[in-house]
Amino acid sequence: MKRLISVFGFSLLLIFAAMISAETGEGTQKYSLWLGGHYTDFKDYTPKVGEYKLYSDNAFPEFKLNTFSQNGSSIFRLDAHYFDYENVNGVLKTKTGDLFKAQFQYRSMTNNKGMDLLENMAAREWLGTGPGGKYVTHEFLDDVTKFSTHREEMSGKAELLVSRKNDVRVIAAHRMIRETGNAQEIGNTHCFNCHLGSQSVDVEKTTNSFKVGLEGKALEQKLAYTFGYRKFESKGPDAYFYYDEAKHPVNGGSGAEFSSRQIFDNETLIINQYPETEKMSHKVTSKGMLGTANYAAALTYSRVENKKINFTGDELVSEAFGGQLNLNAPISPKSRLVAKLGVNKIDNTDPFIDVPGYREGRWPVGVEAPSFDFTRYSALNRTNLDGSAEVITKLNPKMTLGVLGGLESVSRADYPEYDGDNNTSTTLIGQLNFKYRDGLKHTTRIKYRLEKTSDPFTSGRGLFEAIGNDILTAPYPNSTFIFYFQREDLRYQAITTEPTIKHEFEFSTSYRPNEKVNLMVGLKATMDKNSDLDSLDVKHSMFQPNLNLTLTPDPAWVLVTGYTYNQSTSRGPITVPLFDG
Amino acid sequence: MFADSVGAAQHYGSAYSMVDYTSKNHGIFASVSYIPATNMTFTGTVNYNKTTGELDDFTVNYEDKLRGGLTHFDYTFEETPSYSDIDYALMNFALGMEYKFTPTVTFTADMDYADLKDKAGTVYGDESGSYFMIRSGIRFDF
Repeated sequence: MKRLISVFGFSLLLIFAAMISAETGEGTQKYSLWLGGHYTDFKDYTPKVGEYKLYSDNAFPEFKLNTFSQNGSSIFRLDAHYFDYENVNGVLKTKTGDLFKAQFQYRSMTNNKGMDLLENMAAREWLGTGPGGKYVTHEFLDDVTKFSTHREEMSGKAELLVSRKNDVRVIAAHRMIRETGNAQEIGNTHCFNCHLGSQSVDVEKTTNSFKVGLEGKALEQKLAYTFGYRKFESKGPDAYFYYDEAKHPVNGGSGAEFSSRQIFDNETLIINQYPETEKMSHKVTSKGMLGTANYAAALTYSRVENKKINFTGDELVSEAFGGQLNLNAPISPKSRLVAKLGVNKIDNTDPFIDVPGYREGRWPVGVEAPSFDFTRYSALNRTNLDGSAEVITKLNPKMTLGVLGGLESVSRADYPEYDGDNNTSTTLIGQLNFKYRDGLKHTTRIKYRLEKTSDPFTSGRGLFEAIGNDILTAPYPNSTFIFYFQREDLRYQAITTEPTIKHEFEFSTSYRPNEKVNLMVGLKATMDKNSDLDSLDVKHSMFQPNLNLTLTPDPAWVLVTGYTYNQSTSRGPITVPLFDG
Repeated sequence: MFADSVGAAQHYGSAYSMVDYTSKNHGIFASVSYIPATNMTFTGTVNYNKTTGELDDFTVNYEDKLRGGLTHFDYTFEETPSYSDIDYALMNFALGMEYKFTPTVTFTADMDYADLKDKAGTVYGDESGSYFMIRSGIRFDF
């Protein structure tokens, strides 16, 4: 409520500022008010065809208001549309010369979501002559079948000139996103039962972000500093799910033995919990001229913390440091250079994960329980480097050619092992851009881009399992048994969807023989593959032609028509476990 | 002895096959605007989108891994590709008109219809459904 009051107050302030600016002298005022209503009717399944519509077979009042007033250099504009009580849009903008500028926006929408019927996981053990005791089951823990959220977004931004001497300005902004409604939450238990349980849980998620900045000019350069703060939290209730008591899935025995292999069993626990994240950021930017070149530079630092989860006293924090430099410089009367250089380093904390000892207390004397405690080193710990240079040349008054060369590098400090081989992916980029323009009559664009990547990211764990019979041996004395966790030793075959080579092609042409006809034809195509994966020929392709025609036979008629086709193919491995309980 | 562990002679590993998944989308649209008089405007729009997606049939080479074991299992996958099928068509149809009684008062009316036909279904089941909206009002410009 306090937030709504503050937003309402802020809106009144803006309106007041606009009224002041509009009261001085003659100006332009335009108003448009639409009053009406609509009736909606839905049939059969709604969440797909009416994904962003209020599901209601009812009549609703509706209105639109558009106002614009200008007095000298002062402008006030309001555009509002009330469709129904969940779908509302409004933008208010005001400006008083170069002294004060502000904007407030409210928009809200319905988002209907489908209900997972849990029928895509259906399996039962087959014993050769009949079904066995192991099978997947599911249930709905309540009778809710509709899932919908109402998303509201309120944002405001104000800019005030503090000093004309160095064009010093203070900028403040706030944005709030709130989502309320319900969502389907699914838990699964897989010891005694392979069982899925679905339930409806109320949703109340809020994101608040603030920005405060100061900008000014010094030595002909534009300098700015911005501090940012963002917080996400969920105030909705947690979803709970009961995890089975551990025991043999067929005969119901061996409960203590099976329980000793689980982290938890026979407990009702919170599932699918939202994090509570808090982000703080600092950004320093500079724009100006370096000789004859325009430049824009930025230095950034951000820190994100999940305040809800705390692993054995460690903070769960991600820090990012970044720098970016863009240059645009003429290199001849007909050519210019556009160069970009960026660096970004991400560093996450390494929480220690403490889990119960495997079969604690059930090993023979002299055998120590295996420990699966581990420190989670993040695969996102990395340093990204990217740079590119493009020379754009006007070949003649109608033709322009751009030639780009670039390099992108991702260096992963802790992948596949902590402080390991510093796995680095390097991508070399080459690109050609050609444009032909003959006034308004004919324009053609052709683009080709080639990316070659060495050591693209691959899963650190193998996709396939070798035959355990040949490799595994009983790990403990006085035992002939092999354990499930030993299957990790059998995994092989790196896998990724990332390519080692990628081709991109784009073509578009428009032809306007006269003012009544405009024809546009285009084609996009991409093809990539990875040749580093032994016998796995992972590849993707996409082909997308399009045709658009605009006809204006006379001033009373306008006809626009078009056709788009898209075909995408992905090749990847389907892996089948050859498994016998 | 430890109860219910993986027996030493029971692990056969995994087998695989490389498979293509192909999705196709056709999108056709047409919109028309007609102004028969300075105080009257008609608009109309038709959109039609058809999307399909399917996984190729596949087999996996598993016999050499089983070595005569697991004979009671059926490792053919005749039905599996159809689990990933997508096949639906969405048609949108909209009409609108405006009639200006005076320079400051305009009557408006429009309708919007959408119909989705789902032939394959997904984890959400058959998603076929339709939406209809009719709207009218008066606009004041001053």
